[in-house]
Amino acid sequence: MRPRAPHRGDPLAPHQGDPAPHRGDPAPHRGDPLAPHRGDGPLLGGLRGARVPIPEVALLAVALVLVLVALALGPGAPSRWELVAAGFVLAVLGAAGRVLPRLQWPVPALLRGIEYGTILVLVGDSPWAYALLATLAFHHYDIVYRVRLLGIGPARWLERLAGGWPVRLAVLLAASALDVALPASSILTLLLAPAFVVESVATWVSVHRPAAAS
Amino acid sequence: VTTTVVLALTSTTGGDPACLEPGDQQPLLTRLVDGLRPHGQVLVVTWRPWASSLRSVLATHLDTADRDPGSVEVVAVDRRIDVLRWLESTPVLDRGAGVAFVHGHLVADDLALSRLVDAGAGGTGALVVGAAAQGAPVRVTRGRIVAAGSPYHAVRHPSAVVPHGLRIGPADLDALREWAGQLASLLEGGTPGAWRLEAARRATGPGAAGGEDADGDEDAGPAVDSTEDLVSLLLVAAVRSGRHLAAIPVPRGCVWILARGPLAAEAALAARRRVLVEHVRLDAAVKAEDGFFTTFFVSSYSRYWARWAARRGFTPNQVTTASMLLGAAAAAAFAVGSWGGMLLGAVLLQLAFTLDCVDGQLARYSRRFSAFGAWLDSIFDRGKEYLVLAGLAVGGVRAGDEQGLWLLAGAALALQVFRHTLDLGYAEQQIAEVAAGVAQPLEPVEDRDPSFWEPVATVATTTAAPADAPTTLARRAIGALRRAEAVRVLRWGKRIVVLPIGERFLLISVLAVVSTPRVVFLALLLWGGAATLYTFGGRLIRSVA
Repeated sequence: MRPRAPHRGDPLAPHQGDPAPHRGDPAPHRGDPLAPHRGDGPLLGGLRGARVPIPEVALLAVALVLVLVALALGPGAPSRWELVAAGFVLAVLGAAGRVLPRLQWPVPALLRGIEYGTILVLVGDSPWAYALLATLAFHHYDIVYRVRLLGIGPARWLERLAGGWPVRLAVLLAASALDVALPASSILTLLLAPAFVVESVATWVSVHRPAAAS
Repeated sequence: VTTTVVLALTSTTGGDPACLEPGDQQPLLTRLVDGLRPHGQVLVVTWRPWASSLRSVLATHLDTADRDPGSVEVVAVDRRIDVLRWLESTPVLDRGAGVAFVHGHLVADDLALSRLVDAGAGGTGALVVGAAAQGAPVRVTRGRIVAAGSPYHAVRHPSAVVPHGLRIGPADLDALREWAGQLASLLEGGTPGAWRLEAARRATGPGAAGGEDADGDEDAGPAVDSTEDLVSLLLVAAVRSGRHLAAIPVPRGCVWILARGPLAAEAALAARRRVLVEHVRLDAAVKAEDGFFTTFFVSSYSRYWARWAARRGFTPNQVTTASMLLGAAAAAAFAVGSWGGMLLGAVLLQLAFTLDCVDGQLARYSRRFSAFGAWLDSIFDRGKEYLVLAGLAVGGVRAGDEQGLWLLAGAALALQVFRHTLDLGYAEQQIAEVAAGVAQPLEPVEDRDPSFWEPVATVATTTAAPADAPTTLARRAIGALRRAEAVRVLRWGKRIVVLPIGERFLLISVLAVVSTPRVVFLALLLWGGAATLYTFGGRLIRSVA
């Protein structure tokens, strides 16, 4: 069992006042320490390193701006779908973009912003949109803390099932084009929520001993 | 278990073992050994001429206390380098227990000692205290020691001091042998010239810490207490090897004093008698860096709840779960939609938040840490918050305020996830970048320049740091901001501005009662949005500056 200061408050703040958890050295993902937090799923691998001269972080920032504009336009505005679709394309292209060594840190947050924002635009003012966001938030936090505490990312089967943000957004964009975004989001929620919970529980059961200790 | 190596090598000005002071009372060494023995074997390393008197003192003490004499051994050496050679070859390191290093003339209370040698403490690390103490200067980033000094090694921008307390985890025992070997071969032909010069420069320079070469060890550099450098040399070797060394803070109010000579020993023992163990222990259970509301309005009483919970035998995970249930109850109360429901929800949410502080304090107080506990705490924290937002949305809709309310709730959730992920990303990249820069060769006296990712200490420490390189305008502006941070009010102001969890929960509770869910969401979005720009903007500027 790895000793670890349980932390309260903002989860990602440094844990001053207690021994820091031992992190394996050297960092498991040299070059991209944020790789396990991207949540790309299995599909973007082919694009990686395609060396588009534009930095990934810039593409993602523009994509997020497009999504936020679509969100600000409010329901009923004509070109919202096109805006988030353009944002989606830019975000996917981001994987082919250049990596700025000092600016890798905003990338996971930008990806979260693009995904959650697009869901809000497409599904809109409905408890189902919130339910889908909460489901994804559970998964994303689960992965963050698990990677930190155990060094264990999501299981392969879950990555395939959940598809990563590109697949989820593609599904929602297609459903929205067919005018079935709301049912699609509820199906997605009902499919993903149990999968995320089951996979997390299975992970903790497999490293069971710390749980039994306290 | 932890094996402790006690270096009983320091002499008083009179040439006697400092660890046998103060005269007619029980010597420092046996007190220290008593504190260490419950944690594992104790090995006392001393000069050969002192070995017999130390042995007899220890034997008499252990005999009268009717304890197993086998748990304490005395190792005799002739020269400083012999200690390193002994470390290289001793079978003690094969037993799989961690190894701690302290000095024989140390006066420490049990809480401080247990921070170093407690088996639960695990990995490799060193105790750290504020800048004013005696010891090796170090630079700490995110709880990791990233640069360390010795009498022969300089540190740029030191942020803390290691008061000669080092611990090597079981996983690093082979590495410890390597470090000892490396140091031994460097010191083989006497202290390297560059090291001697550095030590001499410090001894003659302004503000040099006095210390004499009292034991006539010819290996030592000039004017350096040759026996006190062993722990710091091992520390430097460990840090510069690139291994992870945790900075273990000595809890405030604890005593950790190296007492050289009879007067110092008396004073240190008196200080130790004055330590209010219970008070210090409770204080140490409270997180050092926390939000304003949490620190002044919650932790001030939640610590007593934590102590109560500890005495009743509750586990941190039970408290965490109770907090989540209270949070769910708060969400349900908010969902009713009436003013009474909002009031009940607000109270329940504050209760849930208090328990949220209690679980961490209980864990630190009772030293019950687990990865699962940390995960559960974090997930339930987030779960509570987002469940409460959903409850507020339901309540608002039921109260007739429908238009766009779920959208606002979703936006508030998304913004919070965005902020947390920004923080995570910065921390992860910072940790990885810093880790990549720690390793460097042992020979050079000079420290490398702290990288962009290592925030430089705001407070100047005793060791003079080399003057800064010429800076750009942006860097100078950042420097001014840093200096401003020394102002207490501004520091707390900055912590409130970023809307930490305590302030967020308070905002939700207050606005839910005096206003509507819609206003809660709008306030979270506006304040959270501004906080994002503040944090994100600052880091962005620093990243490209």
